[in-house]
Amino acid sequence: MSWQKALLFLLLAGTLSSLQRHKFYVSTTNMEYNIQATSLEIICTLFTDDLEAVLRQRYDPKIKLDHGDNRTQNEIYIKKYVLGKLSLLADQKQVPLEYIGLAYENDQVKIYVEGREVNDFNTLFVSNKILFDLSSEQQNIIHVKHRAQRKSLLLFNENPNGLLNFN
Amino acid sequence: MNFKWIPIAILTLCFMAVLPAQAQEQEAEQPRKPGHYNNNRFKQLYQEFSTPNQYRSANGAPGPAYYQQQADYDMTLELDDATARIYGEETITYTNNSPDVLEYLWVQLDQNKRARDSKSPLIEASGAFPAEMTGNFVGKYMGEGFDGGFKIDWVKDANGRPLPHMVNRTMMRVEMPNPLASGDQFEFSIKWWYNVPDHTIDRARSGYEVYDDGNKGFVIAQFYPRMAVYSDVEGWQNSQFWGRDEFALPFGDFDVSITVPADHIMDATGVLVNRKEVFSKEMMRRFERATQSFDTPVMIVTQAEAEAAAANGVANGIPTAKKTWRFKAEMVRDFGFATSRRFIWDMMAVKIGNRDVMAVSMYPPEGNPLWEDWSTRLVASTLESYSRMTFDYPYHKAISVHAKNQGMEYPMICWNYGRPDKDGTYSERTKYGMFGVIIHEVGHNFFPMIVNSDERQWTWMDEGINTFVQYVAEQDFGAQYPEAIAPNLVYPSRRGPAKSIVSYMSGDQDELAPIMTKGLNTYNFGANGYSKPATGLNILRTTLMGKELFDYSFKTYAQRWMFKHPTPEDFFRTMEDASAIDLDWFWRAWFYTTDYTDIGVKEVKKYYVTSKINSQMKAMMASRGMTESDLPSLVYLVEEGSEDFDESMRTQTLNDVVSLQEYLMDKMTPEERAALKTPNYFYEVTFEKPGGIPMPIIAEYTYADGTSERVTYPAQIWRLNDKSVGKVVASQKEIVKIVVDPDEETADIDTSNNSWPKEEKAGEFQTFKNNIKGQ
Repeated sequence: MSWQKALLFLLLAGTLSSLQRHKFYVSTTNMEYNIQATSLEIICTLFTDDLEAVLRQRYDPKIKLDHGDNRTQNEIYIKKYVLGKLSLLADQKQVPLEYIGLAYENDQVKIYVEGREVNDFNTLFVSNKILFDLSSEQQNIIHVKHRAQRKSLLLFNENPNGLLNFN
Repeated sequence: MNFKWIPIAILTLCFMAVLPAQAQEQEAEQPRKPGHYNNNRFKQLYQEFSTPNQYRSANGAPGPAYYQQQADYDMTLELDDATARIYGEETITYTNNSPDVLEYLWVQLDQNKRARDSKSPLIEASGAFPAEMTGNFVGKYMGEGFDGGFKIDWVKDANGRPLPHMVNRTMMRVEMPNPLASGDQFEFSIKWWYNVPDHTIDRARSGYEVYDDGNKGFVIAQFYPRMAVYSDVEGWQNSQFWGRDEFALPFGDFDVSITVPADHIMDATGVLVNRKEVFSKEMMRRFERATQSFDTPVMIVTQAEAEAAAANGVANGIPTAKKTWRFKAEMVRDFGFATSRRFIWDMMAVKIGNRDVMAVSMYPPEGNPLWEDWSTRLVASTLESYSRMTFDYPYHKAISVHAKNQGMEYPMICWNYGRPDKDGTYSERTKYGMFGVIIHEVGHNFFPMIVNSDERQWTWMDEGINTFVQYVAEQDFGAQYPEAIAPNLVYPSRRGPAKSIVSYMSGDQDELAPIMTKGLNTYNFGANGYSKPATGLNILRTTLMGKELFDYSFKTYAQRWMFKHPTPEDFFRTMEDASAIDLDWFWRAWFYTTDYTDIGVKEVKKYYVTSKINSQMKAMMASRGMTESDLPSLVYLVEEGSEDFDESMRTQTLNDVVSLQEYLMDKMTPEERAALKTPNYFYEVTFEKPGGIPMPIIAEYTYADGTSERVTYPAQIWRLNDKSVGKVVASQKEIVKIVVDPDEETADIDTSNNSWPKEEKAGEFQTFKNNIKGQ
């Protein structure tokens, strides 16, 4: 099944069950190409408790993200997790990703990642599997701004990748 | 005041005079366009709205022939804790207040959504994938699935004769011996049972949760066959329950007896009429104390007592002794109850108008310390806020029950999430999640439990409106209990502020649906049914109508439709009727389309005033064979940098314009002249509107001396030109900066065009990166 088809199905049918009226398994990742800096600026916004839950399962059941003291150790886990789940190809070339930092905003956490030394590109392949290991209902929304165009992807468990064309 | 908004008439006239010449030149080359319908964005909603009638008046109030049906229930239930089954028998007395003769009745069987033959899973699209999680695979293809759904034993009339009935999935048609005439009543009974689902697995709106010690907590609703709504708008509202769109229910009186194991603690919709039978003497004493306590919740069942009962249940098994709790409720549209041996129970009184209402919480020890600290206080504060915005809460109590992952509302009772970690600590998200959901679900008592809209069709009418009042109530709660939200100074509401909806409204148009769409068919349910309508109302309140007009109109809507069934048009019409503000353009844009707001400053031209004729006027005169002596006394506006401009104009003031001085000296007394303003700076500001929504232009002008001033041009400024509009600004001081929508109150999706001169703002990413480096 092509991702477009899967996306269409998902959108038409809506997989949200009753309870998601208050609980959404959704993350948003905004990317923007900065031509002067030859960098891809990436901000992943996740629900803090979702990230906490997945880190607890993977690394340490005692992890507490925004109400504990182990900020430095937590950030090592977060860096490892996010960089392991996010992968980008600009014109089929792997984009080297650097973790910049994070900020908590109410119940969400924003994670800043930079794609370094990225030349102006026509296509961007995005793979974002963040939190897919936590919930099969997780959806990752991707917005990319490049060449005055804004393109979006909806990624989910069975369909974690997408290709955007800015030609 | 240093800004003159109505430029001196003569100046304006001259300024305008130079424009038609340009327009004429262009017109000749345009091919003739075809005619068109009225596509004006300010056109009234005659096509979208149904024609007002005797049932629903044009002012948005119930009409003289408005009616609604009544369904009264007499129910006996037993809950089997061990097998998690409910057995019930009900007698429904149905009153036909409609002018129509009814040949049959429709009864809702919501539990059938979980029946083995349910079609709900069949509308969820799926695809074959190379790999699948083992658990998913087993659940999908190998298991038989949970045996849910109502098992109907019989349907009988008042004389005990079986009634023919036909189950069509979640709806059951019941045939009566004779058609039910207008004004008549029909009494019938149903006996049924069903398996209660584990709501933590099944994600149902009701069910049970198994705690670590093996005890269960039940939060029970949609547990009985319920009458569908028959109305002037839909006839029978028998649209199937697929699982998402909630409920449409008539009002009625309930008398419900529920039998549970004797060690259970229970609360439910309605007045507990046999309190003395089910309460211990100590509980009665505590209850009496709670009715007198207005600032601190009083424990009816303490944590130690709940834990002791739970431990006893584990050690000795579920007791065979039973207790029957009996509740009576009047004018409610539904009934829910919560029961467990593991519940802590606290209450306090809150003054609503001249009545005392009980704010109640029931929660397992898992909820503490959050629940004992805040739940009951949140309930009380919410009742106060909502009562202020609508009408005095008419019921005698409101209960917040803690159930894992739940957020669901019923009359007087609701289930809410918000569970601390096992060590008693909790994150900000858990805390604000709990605050938000309690305010939201308790708020649902007003919308839709009392202002009883049709949830099956219009999600936004209860969720959107309720989320808006939730925002008001959250802000109130933060102000009432600063210690609850510290170190925040204001409650960090997620939904309400215009800015928060920008990300949704700027999304891919293929993934957006108008608010006026059935919930089942929307893409992003939460944003569509909750956030966007709530934000729209907040924009109306803070920006378009103002608090005073909005609050009066909103209250009028709530009071007109209290204990009735409103439609979207009743809401839209009332808001206009009570405020004298034409909002059709806003309803159309915000509710009926997926349009977005984007307004900016396109261009700013600076002009100087002179009595020397400019080249545009010369050209116009030449084309008409006129000379300067044919003209009356005129002043001329010269654009900075144009061929007529010379640098000396920069230092000129109005006093240097000979024709203007002559005019003023001839026509005005020295006193009148002294009262005139001297706007030495003239600008033509062009605002653009790439977005579809015609919002007001909120313009902030900043002057060279650092002061600033705001002017709001009403949305109607766009009525004749939907793309761009010019405005002449005459000022006594030089303008150095213009910002549109400086407080981000219109949900403008692109603020990069909001400033003149254009501001290159560092992006969010760069700002963050620079901050990190600076540390």
